[in-house]
Amino acid sequence: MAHRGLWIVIPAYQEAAQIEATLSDLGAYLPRVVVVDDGSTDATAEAARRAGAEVLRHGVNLGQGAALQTGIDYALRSGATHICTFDADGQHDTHTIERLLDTAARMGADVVLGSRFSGAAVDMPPLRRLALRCAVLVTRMQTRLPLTDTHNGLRLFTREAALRIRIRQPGMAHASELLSTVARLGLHVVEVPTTVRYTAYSRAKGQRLSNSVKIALDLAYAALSS
Amino acid sequence: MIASLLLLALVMLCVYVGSHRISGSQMSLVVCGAVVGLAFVIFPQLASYTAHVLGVGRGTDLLVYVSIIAGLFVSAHLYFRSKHQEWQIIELTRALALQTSPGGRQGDALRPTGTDE
Repeated sequence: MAHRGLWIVIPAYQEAAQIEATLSDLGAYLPRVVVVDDGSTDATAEAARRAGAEVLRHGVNLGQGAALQTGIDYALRSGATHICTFDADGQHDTHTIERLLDTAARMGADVVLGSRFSGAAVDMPPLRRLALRCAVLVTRMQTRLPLTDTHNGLRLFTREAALRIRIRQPGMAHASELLSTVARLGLHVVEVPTTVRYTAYSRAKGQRLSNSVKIALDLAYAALSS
Repeated sequence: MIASLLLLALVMLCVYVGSHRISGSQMSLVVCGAVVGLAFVIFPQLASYTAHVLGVGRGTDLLVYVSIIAGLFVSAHLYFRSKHQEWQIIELTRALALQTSPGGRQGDALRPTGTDE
């Protein structure tokens, strides 16, 4: 029996091929699953609606950070007590969601993060592993949070935490921004080992290494203008 | 010959800028730029003289340095403005997505969402 106050937020861009399968794995949590279609030009929204999720549509493509915040706003308005963010490409294991909830309850955590490095990363490309390890190192230095995985899309927020955190980085820099905010607010963060499965589909959809330069620039801009 | 072409280009630029609505401070910048530009075109030795006074080799060098710095200012200004506009687009898109959502209410759309730090 799925937790009644839990909402699942899935940012999706051009995921028509995969979103129905991802949502069918999340069957126990429907209909409290909100897919934010981030201006896809394919049939992502229709496919998600068919699979029984609530669908919000960005008229233009804004980026994953912006899509997450839209979904979180919607979940908060819908009365969510807990909000779980989940990737559209089917990388995550749906059974982990219960573990995130248990951890939040048992340890009184405000934010629970999935970690593929304390858990398992199946068929992960070596370059991806290297880039993510670097991101972890930098984020640990910045935030002083003892994390092992800083860019995992599987996260759980309590309502109170979600109300206090506001994602401003529209693109992929939101992951680092989020952790800086969490550190600044002094929220209680716990990591839970998770399994991330890299499929041919997720590898093709995933971030390119070159995008890390853009992320660094976005963060530098944010540091300058804050 | 080249002087008249340069003058013509300057005048055309002024007319083009003048045909758009710009603020008072922007207008004074444009007028200043135009006056200095005209002076340099009509009295070429003025640039050399100014360069000499400032300790820069030649008038041409002075113009290059000034153009580079002006260009950097303009790009920085445009960059920050585009970032600001990006943020406005995000807020609008989000408001619209929430408004047209299954549970969306009309009145919510233009109110900023969530709480802020």
